[in-house]
Amino acid sequence: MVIVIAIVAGIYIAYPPGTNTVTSTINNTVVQTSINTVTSTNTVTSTTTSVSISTTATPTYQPLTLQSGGSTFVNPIMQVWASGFKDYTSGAVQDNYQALGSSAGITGVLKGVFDYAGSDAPPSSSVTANYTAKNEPLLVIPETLGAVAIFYNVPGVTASLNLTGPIIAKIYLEKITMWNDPAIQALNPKVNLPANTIIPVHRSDGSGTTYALTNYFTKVSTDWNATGNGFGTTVSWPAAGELGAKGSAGVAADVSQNPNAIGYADSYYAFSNKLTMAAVQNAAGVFEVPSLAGVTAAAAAFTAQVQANPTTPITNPPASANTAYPISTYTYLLVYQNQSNQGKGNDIAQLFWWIVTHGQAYGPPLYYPALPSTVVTIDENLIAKMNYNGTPFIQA
Amino acid sequence: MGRRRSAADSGFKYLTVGLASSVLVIALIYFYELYTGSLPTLRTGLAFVFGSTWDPVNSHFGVFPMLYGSLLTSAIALVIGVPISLGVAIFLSELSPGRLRSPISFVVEMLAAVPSVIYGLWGLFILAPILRADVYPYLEEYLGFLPIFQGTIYGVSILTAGIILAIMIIPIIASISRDALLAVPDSQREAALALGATKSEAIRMSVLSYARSGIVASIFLGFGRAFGETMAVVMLIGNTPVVSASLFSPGYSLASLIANEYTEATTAVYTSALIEAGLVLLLVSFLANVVARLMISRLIRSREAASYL
Repeated sequence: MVIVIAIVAGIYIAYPPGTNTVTSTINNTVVQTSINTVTSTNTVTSTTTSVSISTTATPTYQPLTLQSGGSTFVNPIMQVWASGFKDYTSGAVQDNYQALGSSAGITGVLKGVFDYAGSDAPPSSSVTANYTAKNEPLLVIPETLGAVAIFYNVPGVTASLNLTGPIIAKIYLEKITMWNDPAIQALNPKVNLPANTIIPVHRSDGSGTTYALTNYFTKVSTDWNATGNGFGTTVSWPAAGELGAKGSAGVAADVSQNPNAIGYADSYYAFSNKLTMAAVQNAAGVFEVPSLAGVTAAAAAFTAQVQANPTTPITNPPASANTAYPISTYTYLLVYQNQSNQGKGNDIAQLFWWIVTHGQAYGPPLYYPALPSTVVTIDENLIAKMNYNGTPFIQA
Repeated sequence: MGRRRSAADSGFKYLTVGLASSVLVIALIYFYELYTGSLPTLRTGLAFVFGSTWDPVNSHFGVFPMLYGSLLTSAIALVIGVPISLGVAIFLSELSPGRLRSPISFVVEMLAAVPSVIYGLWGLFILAPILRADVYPYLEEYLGFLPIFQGTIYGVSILTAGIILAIMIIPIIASISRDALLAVPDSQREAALALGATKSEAIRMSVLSYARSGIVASIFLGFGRAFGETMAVVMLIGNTPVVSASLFSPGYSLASLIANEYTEATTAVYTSALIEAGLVLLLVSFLANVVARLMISRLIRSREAASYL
């Protein structure tokens, strides 16, 4: 009995139901004057469009702490954004983002535990359709970008190797098993590749990196498609001779400890640990190592598709984007379109608006590529759909 | 006075009944939740337990390699851990000088308080590289005629996970066995010694056999810990769903499967499959406990029968 009470109390403390203890709203002194400077903070190659937010009134914030969670990949930037937005609202709105995994975030939003979630892979279309049918539509909003970096531990090789998508897929399918395979050697004529067996290392835990990489495989590799493995946060890899490791750090440990291993990690991990990354050939035939500009370019190439469907994967961009890194991916914010609490809904909408505009400038120093300005506009239109009883919080 | 005492007594009785039944209720709720949560995949029946394909994209779920990995790593942990634990327990209860007893007990019990993620990280970054470079090659060279020591050496493997689990279960088995040995009445030891037994014979014949049920119980508690261990195993087992005779091969375990995939399982049937993996885990531990109980009660009965002779 006591145990039950203790557990209930623990859950209550961890997830307080709502944050209704503070009910007063305050007029915030921060005025949204810098709206038109927003686009200049985006380090983007594509054309600059003017942001069409017509809000000139001072937004009000309800002082509260948002409960949110999800993707571990975005956790570093989320914490920075949370503190940035807290400053922006003069301390009124705090955000408690918990890095519990994308699925935990999605489930948290659907069950009302979280006010919003961060998710690397978008929720399945059946889930979103189901909630739309229930008249509780979900908004999936691209918030920032990432890439999947390929890295390796080949004795004697310090250079950045050139690889193609089909070759990487063949390595993971164990159809290419040796480092000196003619296909790899042909792309790296100056590198002395050893005749050693490749040990592929994949993520054992469900991950947005696996989602993006396998999505890329489905677009470029006939070998991969022949297996019917599809794409997802966890897929069926060939079992023999491969290792699965938990987290990017786990993959990096397995790769560094096993000579001749190859692995993949998210760009944040790869950049911040200064891994030597493979250059992957994009559709234009250019070999690109992961870079912030390369990822933004890949995203910009999919503007029209993302306009139509925000969850469109952005792997393998068309040849017109000749500087794009081909294994790039969005991560998303997930929130109910119709909010049931006016003050809190407004805070969430304001936070989202701040993230996709002002917040983007915080990204590149932390190795998160900035959204293309075209996508910022798409996001603003999505955020403008958030409403309380039909009244939107932000005018697009 | 009498009435007050009886009121206090019955109040105390109801309190303990309530506390005792709360454990039962939690266990029942736990079982019920696992059962209902896994209904969508439970329909696939035994194919789930004996299938060996784990393909969430196409919703094919079979956990045999994970079940195999869980059982094998736990077995390795027992093979390595039980002799060490019993040695520690016998030394502490029978042979140790009094002033060594409490420092050693303290250290053994402290090992139980180390969080499993620490064991996992230590295993991944320190133990696994040492085993890969300095231990496994010799095992392969000298014992490579055995199929269990053949194949590619990776560092992270079934054997590495088993070794870490052995370290993790030593404190449990050692401290409970020590308590069981200390509970053996001195008359047992004296009787054996009086009959001319040496010290080691006395320990083997009268002390160990008297404490047998407690020792068996401690071993099964250790098994339960090893079988359900998650974090350390995730980091060291290699997370590859394969059934291989070689202990150098990477493997997978039920608990690490759930830990790995639950956070990103986005479809209902996928979540259900993971919950069913938890159900399998629970049922196997339950089965192991039942077997342990039966073994203990049989041991006690045979000893009682012997004492009447």
